[in-house]
Amino acid sequence: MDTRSNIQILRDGIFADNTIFKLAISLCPAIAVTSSLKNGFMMGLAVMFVQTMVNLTISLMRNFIHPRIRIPIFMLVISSWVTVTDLLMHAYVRDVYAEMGLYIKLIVAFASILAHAETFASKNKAVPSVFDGIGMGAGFLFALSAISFFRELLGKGTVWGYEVLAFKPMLIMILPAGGFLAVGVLMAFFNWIEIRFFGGKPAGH
Amino acid sequence: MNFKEIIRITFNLVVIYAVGGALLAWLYAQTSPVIYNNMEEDKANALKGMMPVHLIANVTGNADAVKAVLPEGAKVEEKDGVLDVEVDLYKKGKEKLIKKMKSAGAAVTESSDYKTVEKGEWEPVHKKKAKYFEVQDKDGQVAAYIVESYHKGYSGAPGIFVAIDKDLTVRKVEILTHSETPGLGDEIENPAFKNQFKGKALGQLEVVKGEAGDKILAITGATISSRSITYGTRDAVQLITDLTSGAAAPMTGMSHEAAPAAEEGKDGH
Repeated sequence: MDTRSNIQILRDGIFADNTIFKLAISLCPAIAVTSSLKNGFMMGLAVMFVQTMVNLTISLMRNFIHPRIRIPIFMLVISSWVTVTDLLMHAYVRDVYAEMGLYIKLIVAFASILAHAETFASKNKAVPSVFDGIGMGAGFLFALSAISFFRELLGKGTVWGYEVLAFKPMLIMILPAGGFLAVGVLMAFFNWIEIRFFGGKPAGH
Repeated sequence: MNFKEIIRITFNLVVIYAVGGALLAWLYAQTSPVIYNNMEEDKANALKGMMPVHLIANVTGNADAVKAVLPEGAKVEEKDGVLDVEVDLYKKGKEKLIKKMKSAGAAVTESSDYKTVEKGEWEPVHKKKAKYFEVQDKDGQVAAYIVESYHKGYSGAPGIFVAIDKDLTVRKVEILTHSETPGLGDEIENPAFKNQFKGKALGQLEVVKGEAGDKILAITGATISSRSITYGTRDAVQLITDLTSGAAAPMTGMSHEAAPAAEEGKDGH
């Protein structure tokens, strides 16, 4: 059982346990979709929804899952929620699906969702699990938006598709290599802020 | 782990998977007809968008203000306060323009000179069957052809409509469905890429890198996706070429593995 308050769980998901900048997991999809702010933001939203629903489902079923086969069952829950999201959006919100449809299916492979099903939802009650899902999802949304904002601005000179700079300062930023650069630089930046202003400790201390 | 334990694990897994599977099956049964209808509707809309549309504007305010919002290349005829605007726009672009014209002081209705008639089915390389259409003008004369085409991309075979003029050059390419990689392959939907096809003849439908010349310039990091659309278009033009030259209707798209497999692998997307 987790002893933190719900609000603390939510905050930790966004800052202290940020999927990208702190835990450094789910980096592959995070780099694949962050070549523009719109893509990054849409993906973040979709992940937030699926992560919350998966956490809720797992925590409700946690007493029925045999510990030896928990991972295949987590995978089933994750892929079911992804399929549900995909089908419902495709059928009933066509405009949004036209923009987000491509990203939804990628969520099945997200390590961060599986990790929190295992470390949090399978050991905690439903309400804290929902807060954990929202927090982790919001943290991921924040990280993806930040990364994709810089990649798009530097790589294409645009923000959300609108031209801001009349030139492209660093084309490499929208290519995969630039994704790693952006993640590294932003990770250092946010850790520096935390250490400098919020009394955080550097990793390893 | 004893026998009892094995049975318990199996039972646990089977029950949860069966429940999950049943729920998904139920949801699929509920949503798939809706999804199918949506896609058919999208196709029908896309088909309308392949030829220019006329926006008949009853100007209530200032005609010049209405004209000012029209995009470049729009043909305008003016008669008794009614503007007849011919534009080559589709879906969102068209809706945006109508909104702009309305706010500039005009009542807008849409009409088209063209009628699209389904002519038959053919077999693209990577799909069992697809339709092709003949576009007739007001007098019932053939004005153009529209072909539904598919060619393997990075992930699945994107579906496209290709409008082909009577002189066998491409008029317009519109992407119907695709599941190419977000951020790389989905750039095929970018107008800058699609507009390259206008006016291209059969021999010019090839993907090149660096300098476009009179060919199709590949999208950076998405060569396979670019090829998919280009070859799909080439198949469509080939089909119409064969049909109009009086040859027997070809039932298969031409096979062109011009690009060796090794090259495709190395390009990434």
